[in-house]
Amino acid sequence: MNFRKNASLLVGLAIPLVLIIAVIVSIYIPRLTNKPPHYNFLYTSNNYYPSNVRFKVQQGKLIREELPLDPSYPQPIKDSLAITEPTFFLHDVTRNESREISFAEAQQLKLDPNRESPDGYSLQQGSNNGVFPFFYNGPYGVSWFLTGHTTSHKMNVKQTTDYGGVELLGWVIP
Amino acid sequence: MNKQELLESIKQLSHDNQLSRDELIAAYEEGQGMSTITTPSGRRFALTDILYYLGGVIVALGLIVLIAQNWSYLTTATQLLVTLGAGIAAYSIGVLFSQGQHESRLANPFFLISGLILPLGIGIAFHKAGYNTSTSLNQSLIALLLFAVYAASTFFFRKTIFTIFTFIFGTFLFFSFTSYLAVGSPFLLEWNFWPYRILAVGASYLLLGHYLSHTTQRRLSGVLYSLGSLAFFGAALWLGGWKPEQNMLWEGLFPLLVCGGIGLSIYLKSRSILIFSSLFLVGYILKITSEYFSDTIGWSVSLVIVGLSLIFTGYLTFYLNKKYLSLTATQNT
Repeated sequence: MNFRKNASLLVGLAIPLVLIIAVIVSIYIPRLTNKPPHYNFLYTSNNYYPSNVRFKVQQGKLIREELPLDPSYPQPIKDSLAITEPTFFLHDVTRNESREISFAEAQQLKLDPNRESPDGYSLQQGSNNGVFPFFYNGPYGVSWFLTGHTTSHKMNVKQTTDYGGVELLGWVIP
Repeated sequence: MNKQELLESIKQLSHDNQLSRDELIAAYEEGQGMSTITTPSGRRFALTDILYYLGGVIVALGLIVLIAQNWSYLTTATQLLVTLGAGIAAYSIGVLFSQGQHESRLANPFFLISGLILPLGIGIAFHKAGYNTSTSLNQSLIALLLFAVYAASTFFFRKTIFTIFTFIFGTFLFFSFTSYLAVGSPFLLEWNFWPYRILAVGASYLLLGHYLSHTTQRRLSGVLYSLGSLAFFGAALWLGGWKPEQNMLWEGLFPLLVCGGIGLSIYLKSRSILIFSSLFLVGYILKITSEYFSDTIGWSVSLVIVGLSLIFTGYLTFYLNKKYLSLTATQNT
């Protein structure tokens, strides 16, 4: 093949390929050089519990706060607010699997409530949707990743529903 | 020149990719007194071709509406038959017609129907096989399949219609696959991944348009120059951002890129690159004025500056078009 004659063809085809290779390199090379995440984390799914219930970490322990309902709420609304507890999950990052645990078990854990783990990773949501909306086959896929040090690791977090979402409560301190 | 010499010349021109089958047929039809239309690129486009393609689009639309209206009444087998089956049938009919000496142009509308229906058919086949067709991985597989079919068809049949679909499905494959890669890396989504991808596609289209301008498919180069300019300059402007989250590097680089585009339009003798470069220069002037000067010198003075800049850009475009492109505009648009 005459390179000079076909230079525009070769360079034109090379540009998208170079971008693809650059993206692959930017994803996989940092994974080889950086330490993988090693702090397990506690999260809840199905977070449709009433707005007066809070779960938070205080002095390294998970606590449940129940605030009095807004007195301006009409009584029928107060009555209809049945207390539904969220589901607690402990995610093992080494085995990359989630295990459902009770609130009592969750309270036994020593937790770091920061958004970023002690080893510099944070839990982020990603999407695996395609670019062509015509092929909608819903519900849209949502994936979760531990992201940090210019790298990310997909976490197979369990969710109670596709739309329930995930709320990080804290990183488990061994 | 006698007939034998003429045929030898045609062979030589065809070998050098200087003469396409369509051009040869158009010249023959013109000699026979058949109706032709001269497009802005100078190519003679038979009226029958327009009817063929229009018919192809109407058939494809009809099939899509038929499927959409009766989706819930159709069994899985019927859904596949009217989409994938119809796409494959249209492609096969096109292949049969392309073998014939007189019916080869009739093949194009059937190839057009197949190109419009096959993505739907393959998507439905994936869906029925239990694959979630909304994920970027499965869309990449669908795009790869379509791209492979049409790239191979371009190679074997050397038809413009296949080249068009190869570009469409190749672009679809590029965006789907890079989206699939980005799934494993959410930080790429924060990193202006879309405009960078569009920028790459724009640059690629411009270069491939230049390559095609030297082949028998040179009439596609004008379309590629237009789409490439639109994508490239649009993405570059997008990367510049907006105050206070602007990207100074891209904002500073943009006028150089546009000037490069104007220079390129003269080199390639492409009016579409000149027009898009000028339009984006106007857009950039408006953007920069409203971003940085409307608060300091006021809107009234800004409007005067913008107006003068537009007059200057308009005159520059007119001058360059008249001096460098008008005489050769018939080559590429």
